Amino acid sequence: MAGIASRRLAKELKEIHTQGCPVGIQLLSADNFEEWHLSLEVMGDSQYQGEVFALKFRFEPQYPISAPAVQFMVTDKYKSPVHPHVYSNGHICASILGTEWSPVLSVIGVCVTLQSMLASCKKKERPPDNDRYVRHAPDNPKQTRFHYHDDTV
Amino acid sequence: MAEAQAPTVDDLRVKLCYICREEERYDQPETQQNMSPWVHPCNCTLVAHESCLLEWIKSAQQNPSRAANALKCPQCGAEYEMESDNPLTLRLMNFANKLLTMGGRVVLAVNFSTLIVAFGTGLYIVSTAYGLHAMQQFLGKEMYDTLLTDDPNNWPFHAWFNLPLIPISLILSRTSLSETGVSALLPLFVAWPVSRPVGLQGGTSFFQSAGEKLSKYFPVVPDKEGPFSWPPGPIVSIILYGLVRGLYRRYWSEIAHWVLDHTPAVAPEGRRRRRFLWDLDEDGAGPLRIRIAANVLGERRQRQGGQGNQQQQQDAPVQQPQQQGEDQQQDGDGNADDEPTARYTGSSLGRLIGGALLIPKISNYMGSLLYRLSQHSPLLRRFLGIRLPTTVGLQLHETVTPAFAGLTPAQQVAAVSRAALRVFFHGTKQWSEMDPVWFRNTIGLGLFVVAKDCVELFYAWLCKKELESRHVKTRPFRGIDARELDLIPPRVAI
Repeated sequence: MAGIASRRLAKELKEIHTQGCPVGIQLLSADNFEEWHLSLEVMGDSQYQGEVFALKFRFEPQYPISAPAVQFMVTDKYKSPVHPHVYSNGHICASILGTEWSPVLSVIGVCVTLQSMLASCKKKERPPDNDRYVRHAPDNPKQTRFHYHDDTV
Repeated sequence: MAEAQAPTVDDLRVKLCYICREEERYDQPETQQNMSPWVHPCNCTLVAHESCLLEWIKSAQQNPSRAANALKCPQCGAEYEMESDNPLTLRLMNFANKLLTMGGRVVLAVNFSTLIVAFGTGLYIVSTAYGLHAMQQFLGKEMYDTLLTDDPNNWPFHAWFNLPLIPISLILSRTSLSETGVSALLPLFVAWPVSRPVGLQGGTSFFQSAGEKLSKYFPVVPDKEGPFSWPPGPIVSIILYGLVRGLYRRYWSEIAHWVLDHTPAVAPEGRRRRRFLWDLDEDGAGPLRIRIAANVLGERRQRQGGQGNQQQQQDAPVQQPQQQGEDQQQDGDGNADDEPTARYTGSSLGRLIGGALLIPKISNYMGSLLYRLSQHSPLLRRFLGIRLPTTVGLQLHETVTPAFAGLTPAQQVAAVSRAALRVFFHGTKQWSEMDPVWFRNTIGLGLFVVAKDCVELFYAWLCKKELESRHVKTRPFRGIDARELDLIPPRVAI
């Protein structure tokens, strides 16, 4: 019982290495089974043309039963995308990372979903409660109980 | 006919669990690390280990916001069908639990409206009235009439603090604060043992000398029983009660772990913090049962965890990292949620308050039950110290009391200290001479708590059995083109 999480993540990693990532997604680092970094770029015509973002995945020993903690990295190199569901500290309000999480999803699956979330964005703006949220936000976005506003954007 | 032809999960050449991503080839089943059977629970092509799927369902059902998706295929949306042993007892207990939950909601609603009314008329009056009722239930009619009476003019001054505190402390005693030792019975007892009868007071009190007043508080009577008479006085009882309660709680949690087969786990430091969620509009009682089992266990395990940690640090600090590793696995097995969650829903809050306010009534009822039982058992009668109602006892004590003022100062000090000791062990005259209704009520309440804990544990045990006996119903791949499936090549018929 070396942990269900590490076995499954090893499989996902192997898959990434053998099959490669979808277009616009690249593995930056996956040195352990606790934290992975991936870069994300929206291909084609979109609000985010030419911008590259980075995603940080944090896994618990119960992954994939429990959802990974996913957020955009905010560093010198990477910025959080301006999007109505993404806070300036990188936290993402997306139901698939919370109540709609399912073990059928994977790291790449989450990346693809977030990629299409950015791609379908019509207007670049922060969530209305951005300032308030960022001031009190916990380090781990999984500790936030998001209210998922709408699934259309 | 179509049914017979539809391939099942066992006909797949390669089975890939959509949860753990382990795969098993039909021709080399020994590569599989997880020995659980395979299920195909829905209408699409996803298959999974039954153990993985059950783990997922359990963890999703613990969280009400995710519970709706727990029994649904994430891809085709088909409902999973579950099979489990659900004995009649468990169904009955579930029903009772649901009734209590509903009752809890009613109590909460009533309480809210009472609270609003109470702020109009004064929370104080309502609490005091409740406290008075509680005292009457708890002390029995006779002692109540002696110590308190219905007429507020007769009340000793501390009644004005004691009575309104009763409901508050009763409610507090059922929250986790009670771990700090706040006892439900404390306000029922405090200060009463040393208060004197109000019934007697009359108009003469004006003319009584200070010494006589003192001797009324500390009646100097010949000590017939010695310091350790039975039943113990109220103050000793409080101390005993606290001791017994502490011991009971400790051993009970061990018993619970043993019955529910949970090894006391050592919680890693970071995980000890518990989330408190206020979830006032909880919907649906479906996953309730699982949450109860999980929450009860979660809490118990946490408490146990604290103790275990300390012990371990003393015993073998070297082993700690290894132990923590084991614990994480156990957590993964038992409670896949991140942290143990204490969830306060509207109904559970109502149950808590309602239950707390019923304590005096229950103890009164249990006390009279014990009284009735004692009619058949002299031993029980002795243990409960049942006496016939005394109406002459109070007059008696007047005559025995010597004139306090006539004693020398040394004698006075001795008398007072002897009397104080006596009050400590026996309470005042009234407590030691009257039928100790309060004592059998306390014992009765204790028995009730034990019985209630047993029922709760039995319920949790049944829930656990039900969880363990669960199976996900597996379905054939009906309605799916067989060419899409990677099936075992059909054997050539000989």
